[in-house]
Amino acid sequence: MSIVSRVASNNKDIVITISERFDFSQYKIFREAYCDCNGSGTDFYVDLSKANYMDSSALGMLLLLKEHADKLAGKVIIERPNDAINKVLEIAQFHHLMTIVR
Amino acid sequence: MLDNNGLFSLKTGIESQVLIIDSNPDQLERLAKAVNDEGFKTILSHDGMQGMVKFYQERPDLVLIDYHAIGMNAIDSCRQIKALAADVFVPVVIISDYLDEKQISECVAAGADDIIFKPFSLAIFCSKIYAMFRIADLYRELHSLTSERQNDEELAEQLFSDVVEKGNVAKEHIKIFKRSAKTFSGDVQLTALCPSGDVNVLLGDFTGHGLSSAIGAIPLADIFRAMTDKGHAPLEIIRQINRKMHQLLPTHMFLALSMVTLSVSEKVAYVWNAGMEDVLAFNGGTGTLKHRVKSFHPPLGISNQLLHEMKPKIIPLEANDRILLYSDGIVEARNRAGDFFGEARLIDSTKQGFINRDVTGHIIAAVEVFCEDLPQDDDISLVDINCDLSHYQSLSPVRSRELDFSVVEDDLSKQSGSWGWQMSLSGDKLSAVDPIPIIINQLQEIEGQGEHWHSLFTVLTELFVNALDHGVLALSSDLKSSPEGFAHYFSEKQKRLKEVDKGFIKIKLEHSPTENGGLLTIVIKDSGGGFDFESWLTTAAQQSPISSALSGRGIQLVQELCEHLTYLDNGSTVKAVYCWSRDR
Repeated sequence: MSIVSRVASNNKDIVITISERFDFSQYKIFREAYCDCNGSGTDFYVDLSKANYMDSSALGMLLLLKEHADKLAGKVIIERPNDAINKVLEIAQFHHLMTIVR
Repeated sequence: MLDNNGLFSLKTGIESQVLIIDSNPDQLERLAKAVNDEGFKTILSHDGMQGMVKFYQERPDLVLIDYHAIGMNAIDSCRQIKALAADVFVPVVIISDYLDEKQISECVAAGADDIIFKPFSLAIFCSKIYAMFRIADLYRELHSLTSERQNDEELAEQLFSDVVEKGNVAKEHIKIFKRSAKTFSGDVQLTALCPSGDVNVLLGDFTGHGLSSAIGAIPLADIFRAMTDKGHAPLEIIRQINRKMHQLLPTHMFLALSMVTLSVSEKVAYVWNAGMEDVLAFNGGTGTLKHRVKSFHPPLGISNQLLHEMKPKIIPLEANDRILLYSDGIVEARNRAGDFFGEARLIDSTKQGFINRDVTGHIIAAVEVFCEDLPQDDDISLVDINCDLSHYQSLSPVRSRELDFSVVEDDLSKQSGSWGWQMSLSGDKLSAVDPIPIIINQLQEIEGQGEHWHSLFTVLTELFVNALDHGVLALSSDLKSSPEGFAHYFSEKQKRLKEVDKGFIKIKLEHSPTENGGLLTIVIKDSGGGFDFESWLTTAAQQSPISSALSGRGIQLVQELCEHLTYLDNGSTVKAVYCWSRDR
């Protein structure tokens, strides 16, 4: 599985781990990873440490996740992107929109 | 006999025809009966050659060939049928008692879809036929979906090239190259001329593919063209594009954009980069990379408002300079090893392109060599901007100087058909409102559209900017005495604009008709301390050549364009008289 989601140790937040490619082919499975998480104040951690590629449609998917999190008054935190992915995030200046932790 | 009810559900109707080529009359008859019993029609042939003729005449939906059929061997027949069928999938099944590995692979290579070995039960035989028809159905469905998608993409492509990009200007100096990938992804390249003679260049890259990305292209082009045409500031254009895209695009879609304004009067380029690859500025003579403008804002359409730090990067221009805009498709082109083409190769091939006077051609050739014959994943988009501003000055409409100055200024108010208009701005409205487009709009509403407003636009802009910068904000134009000073000047202006509190500017227009146009008196009064116009005139006359100075050209230009230019109230009020005649 290239996308796995689990409940964080605080029993509230969600950690979504993405492996290999993060692109349009993951659209459905990425959405399924969070769409049933409706607890108020839920933060979503997207762990990219195992991902090696991300395209612009993945940026769009992150925006959908952010929209979902905003509704719950939660946050989106992007964790440990590799250099290539960080460059994509930097070009898109996504640190203005969500937290990115390297 | 196999009962197909419920077991097979085929779109292939019972009208389907099966061509059977078999030189053994007994076997031919047996197969024909089996096929007929399943409800299909049969076309029979005793030899391969005759079978080809029947195939050509009757166009069957499936072909069975005995490997040992005479007249033409089964391999050649199979190959011929596949060639004749072209785009349509017609399954070919070979029947034989024994084939070795080599023969089997020959059959497959010739296009055979299945092989049935004798002896076989009729049930198995019929199952195979159904399976083949089912594949043919899938193939047909795929084919129709693919051609539907192709139609969509052709439509999108047509929208882009015909509707959206047709209005581009200065094509010989702003070289645009675009090649769509297999799946159309939607890069947009636009150029337009401002009334002041400045040139706006935009490269946009929509997320998404096909028609969905074309949806935004038309409003994007409309806003860009209409607002450039009316003389709106570039930042206003970007703000409006952002607003529209936010309204229009679904959450996961956005527009990455880079935009360059070549300012002919200031000899600088204003560069905005929202989510695009770095904008690169070169010295086109030496090939040196002089400036790089990184993305400093998220792509447009994500949020309703722009971020506050959307300040352009200002690049001083020399005649040799070139600015290159490109989308990620080019640096992300891959070779067989999975490596990206990357920016270093792009810069190298750009330098080569300068030497050979064909930048886009060189880059594209380099990408092709790098990728060999691998298909592209994304669109390739390049815009190569020649920054020799003299090219663009000639595009600016020539102002007409042959006027009949038949009306005396003092008689304006008595003239029939004359009109007046005024506007006052104070405090924070001075930074929020750009009155020039409003005035141009008024003029066009009353006197009609036309190219003759282009130089008036320059006059109004110069006078208003002078009143604002040097009057209300008390900025010294000495700041602009060096190219670096421009950036400082710009940031100081932004700072003081925020603090402006009691300042004001009043603009008054009076218009009276002439035989073939009109006479427009412009009075602009500001709250500043004014300046010594007479001594400015003396200094200006001493400067030689005056056009090489970085400041002061504004007033000189206005003087050239207007019939009269006078400063009153110690320089805090300016009065200009502008004559225009209708375009021929």
